[in-house]
Amino acid sequence: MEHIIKAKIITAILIPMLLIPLAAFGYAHWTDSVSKRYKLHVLCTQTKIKTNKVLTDWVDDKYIIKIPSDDELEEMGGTYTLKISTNRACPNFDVWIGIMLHNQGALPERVYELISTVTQDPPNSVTLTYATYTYGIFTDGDFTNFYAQINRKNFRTILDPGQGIVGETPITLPIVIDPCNKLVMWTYLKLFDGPKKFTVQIEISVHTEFA
Amino acid sequence: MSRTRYRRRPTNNRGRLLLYGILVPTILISLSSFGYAVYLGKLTTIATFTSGTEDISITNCAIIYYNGFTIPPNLVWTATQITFEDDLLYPGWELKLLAEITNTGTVPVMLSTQIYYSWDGTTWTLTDANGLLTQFRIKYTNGFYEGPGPDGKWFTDNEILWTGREGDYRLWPDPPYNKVYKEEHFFFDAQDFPELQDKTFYIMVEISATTT
Repeated sequence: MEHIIKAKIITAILIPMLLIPLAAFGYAHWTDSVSKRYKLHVLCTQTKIKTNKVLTDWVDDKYIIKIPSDDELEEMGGTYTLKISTNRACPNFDVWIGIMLHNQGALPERVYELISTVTQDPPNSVTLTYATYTYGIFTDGDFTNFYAQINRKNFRTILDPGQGIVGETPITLPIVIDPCNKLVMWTYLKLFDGPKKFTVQIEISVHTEFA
Repeated sequence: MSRTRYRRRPTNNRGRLLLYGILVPTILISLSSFGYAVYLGKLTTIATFTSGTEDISITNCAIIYYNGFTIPPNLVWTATQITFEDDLLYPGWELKLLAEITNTGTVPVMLSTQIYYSWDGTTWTLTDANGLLTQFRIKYTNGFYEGPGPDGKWFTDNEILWTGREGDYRLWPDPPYNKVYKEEHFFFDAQDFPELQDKTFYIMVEISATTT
C-alpha cells in the first residue's frame, strides 16, 4: 500500500515536471508572431507667417529689426511669431506691415478675425491710428498685385491708409483656407504726436483652427 | 470547527462620489485642454516702435565774403548758434555766410527758416525777408544747397540745390544725406535812408528741424 502511494506521488510530480519544459520547448519552436506598430502624431495647425514686409520711408531697412530675420524666416519656411522693432520712430512716423499667411498643412484651416492690442509707454502718451486689411484667398502666384509687387518705392501709391490696396476689396474674416493657400494682411500704423521719449507696441494676433 | 463569515462590506458612497465628482471631471478637463492646446493655432506679429532723437547741429561755418571794416570779422559759432556782430555798417555793406548743418539725431527732419528782429537783443519779433528790407534796408537771401557749383565756388548760380534724399526735403540721419549747406547773404541797401544812422538792431535767423 505504501509503495502505491509513493508511485502516485512520483507520477504527480514527475509528469508535470516533464510536461512543462516540453510545452516551453514546443512554444519556442512552433510559434510565430506578427506585430503591428502604429506611429501616431497629433496634428497641429500649420498656417504660418511665410514672409513679411515693413514699408516706411521714415527709417532705412537697416534700422528695422526683425526676429526672425528675413533670411532666417526663409530658411525656417514659416513662423508663428514675428517681432519687428525700430528705435527711430518719431511724430508723423507711419509704417505698413505686410504679412503673408500660408497653410502649410494637409487640412483646411479656419483663420479668425485679427485681434490687435496696442500698448504705450508712457501710457496714452502717443496719438495714433491703425488699420488692418486682409486679402485672399491666393492659390498660386496670384498675390503679385497684393503683395509681391508692393515695395518701398511704390507703396505710397498702392497702399492707402483709408482703404488698403487701392482698387481692391479686402475680405472678411473668419475664412477657411485650404492647404497651400495663402492670405495677405496689411496693417497700417501712424503715430501723430507724442512725447520726446515713447514706445508704442502693437500686437496683431490671428487665431487659426482646423476647419 | 470554526467558520469564517464573510460579510459584504457596505457600499462606500463617499468613494464613488469622489471618483465621479472629482476624478472624472479632472480627466475630462485635462483632455479638453490638451485638445484645445493642440488644435488651435495662434500667429502673432509684435511691432515695437521706440522714439528716436531729433537733433541738428551746426558743424561748420565760414564767411565767404565780407566787405566791412571790422577786422577780423566778429564771428563766433557753436553747434547751436552763430553770432555775428558789426558796429560799422555802411550803405553797401555785404556779408555772405555759409553754414554746414548736420542731422545728428536718429530721425529724418524737415528744415525751415524763421527770421526775427529785435531792437534790444531780448525781445524778438517774427519777420521775413521783406520785413528786413522795409525796416532795416537789409536785403536778405538764403538757400539750402547740397554743395558748391562745379567750379567749387559758393554764392554763384551754379550751386547744387538741396532737395533731400528722395526729393522730399528731409535731412536724414545717415551719410551722405545728413548734411546740408545754408547760404545767407546780407546786403545793407541804405543809401537813401539816413534815418537808420546810429541805430542798433539785431537779426536772428532760426533754423528749425521738425518731423512733420
